[in-house]
Amino acid sequence: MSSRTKNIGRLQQILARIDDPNIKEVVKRVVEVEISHRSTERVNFPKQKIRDILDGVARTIENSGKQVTPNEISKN
Amino acid sequence: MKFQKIEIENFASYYGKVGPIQMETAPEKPLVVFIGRTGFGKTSFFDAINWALYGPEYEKDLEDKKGRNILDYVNESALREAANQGQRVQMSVTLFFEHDGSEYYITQTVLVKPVKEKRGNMKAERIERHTITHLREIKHSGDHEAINYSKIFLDEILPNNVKSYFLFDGDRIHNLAKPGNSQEIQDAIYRVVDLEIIRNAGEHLNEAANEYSKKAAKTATGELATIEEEHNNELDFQNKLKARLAEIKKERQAIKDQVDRIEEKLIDLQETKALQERKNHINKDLQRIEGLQKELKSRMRENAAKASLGLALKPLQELRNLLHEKRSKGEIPKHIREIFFKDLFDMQQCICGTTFQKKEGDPIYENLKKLLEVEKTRSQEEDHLIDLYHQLNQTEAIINEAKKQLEADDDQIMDLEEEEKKYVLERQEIDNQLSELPAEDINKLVNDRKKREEKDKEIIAESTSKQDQLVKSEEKLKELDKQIKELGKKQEEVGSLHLRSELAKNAAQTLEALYEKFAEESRKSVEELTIQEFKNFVLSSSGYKVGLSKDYELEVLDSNDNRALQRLSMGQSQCLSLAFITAISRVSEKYPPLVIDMPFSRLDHTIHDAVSKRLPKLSQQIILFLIPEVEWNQTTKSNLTRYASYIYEMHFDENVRESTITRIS
Repeated sequence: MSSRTKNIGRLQQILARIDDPNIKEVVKRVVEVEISHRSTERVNFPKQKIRDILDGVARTIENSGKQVTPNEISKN
Repeated sequence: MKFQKIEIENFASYYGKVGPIQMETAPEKPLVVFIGRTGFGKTSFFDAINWALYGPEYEKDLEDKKGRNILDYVNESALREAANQGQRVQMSVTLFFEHDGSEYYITQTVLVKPVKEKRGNMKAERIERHTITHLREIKHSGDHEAINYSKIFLDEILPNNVKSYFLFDGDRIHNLAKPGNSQEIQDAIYRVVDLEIIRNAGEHLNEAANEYSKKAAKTATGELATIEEEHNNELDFQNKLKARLAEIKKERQAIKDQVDRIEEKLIDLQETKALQERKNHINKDLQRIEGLQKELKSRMRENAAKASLGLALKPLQELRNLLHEKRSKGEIPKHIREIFFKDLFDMQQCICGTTFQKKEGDPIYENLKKLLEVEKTRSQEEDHLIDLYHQLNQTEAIINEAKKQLEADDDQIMDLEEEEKKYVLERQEIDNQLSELPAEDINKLVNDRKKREEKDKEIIAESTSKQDQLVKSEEKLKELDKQIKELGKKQEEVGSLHLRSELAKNAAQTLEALYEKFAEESRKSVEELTIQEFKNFVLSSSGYKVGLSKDYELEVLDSNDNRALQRLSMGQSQCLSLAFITAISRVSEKYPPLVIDMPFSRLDHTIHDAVSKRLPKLSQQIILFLIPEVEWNQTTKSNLTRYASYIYEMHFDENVRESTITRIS
């Protein structure tokens, strides 16, 4: 697919409201996996992909010595 | 996504190779019309489109919903012919479509051999175990490149669980606008605007958080292990609470649907009409009161936290007065002493009049420098005291404002409770009067409703208690998280696992908050567009107010604000469904073809004109299946023809039991 996100325009706008960059990164990538496996039965869902995303972002936090900040949603 | 053409082979009543049937539409002519009588192959054509797109998934749907096997669709004549010639039969459908600037086609094929049954009937038996699916992209160079067909491909274009809101049969359209269908309406909005993606993402993140947390508990030792275990138990408890609250929400919606259906029946009975209408007004007022109470209580909780600081108000005031006194006396002379020393340095003369040199080694200069350092520290303390004085003033103002607001809100809550009491009593009185009415069916309906309302009350009580437990559990988890973080620093691996768990949990919580917000925004947008579209469809709708309630119920109110959904004609009700379908399609910002089987079949002729004028404007591509005369008549023909890129006529030969399609325009 040339553009996998075109069909979820409204959803993208909503996700853009997340302020915390780490949470935003996790949510953005998890949502991409969910879109790709929308009609996959629950038992067959690739949960490892979710753990990989969390691992990746957590490693970035660990390497930069940052702490996870509490999630905040923009009031805009 | 836009359909371009379809080729059908030995599918249902279509014998041999049929097509290609062109469906590519120009922007100013978005319609493709198929005209055919009942039994001429309209529904089979509709099934062929679905099978081409969804293959084995649609086969499962056919079995579940229609009790039919895909092999039942193998054309009868082709099967008989193959039996005579000792050959096999190929049934296939190929759908060509364009999506996002690229061209594709999907072919579904089933290979069967004919088997004679005891009664002489022919039956198809699979040669290949599965349906063969080919998906190809037509490149600009003209090459056809095979793409691995998977659900992922269609999940990005038109997922199977969303397609039913774009590929419609007449009955489903009609059912949408019936009372008590809020679950279906909610599902439609949630799926079409991708809310289910947010919900699923939240659930998967929560699962991951639990897994990391459990792993951390296993890895931890000593005190940390105990706290990790406590944390996990609390998390399990919280998950159960959340699951129950979600169930409660559904149960309440189901009860509400049932009560609505009963009330619609009651309002139709002359004996109960006036009482029922009054009751509907009361219910609305009670809903309004409930909303206001909720808002006030949430504000009161916030202000109560601020006002609770009032306990410390007296010492705060004393401290502030003390500071004020000191400032008035000049005991907090910010910066003055520091400036005085700097002046002495500039003049190079001590306060006693002795001159000195501003350089290292001069004893007076050295001494004054030391004294200045002491004064600098003192100035910082003075700054802090001045800041504290201002902060105390602000805190006092916040506490006083919160107290004032709290009192005002408390008064309002009491007024609302009084009002609520009055309405509840009046509603009880109406219920008593309704239950005393002689007609047996009225009694039964009223009692049925009473039972459901009582059940609803029980559920509300449970929900409130669970909500309270959830708030406490959240607080406890936060406290445990803090402790784990501290202790986790000493046990690196546990800390690392906990970081992942916390990250997943925070992301899930963010999604939960977004979910509510997104759901409400989508509902409002769908409501707005449904109102607009309904007016476009039914010119006589001015007497009605259409709405989509917070409980996802399509509501129609007459000029007296009474519910009038049941009173809509079948045609008006179908228009309301069409308005809703158009609204969700627009709000979703997805633009797949809208395929509608028999959109006019239940409409009065008086509405044909308005609907047929509006239909071409519903989507970028609209495929219509119409019955001649009943649906394809002078009015619809003149309104639709100019917007149609293709018009086809379907025929069915009774003798050979075959459908054919001819282009007529």
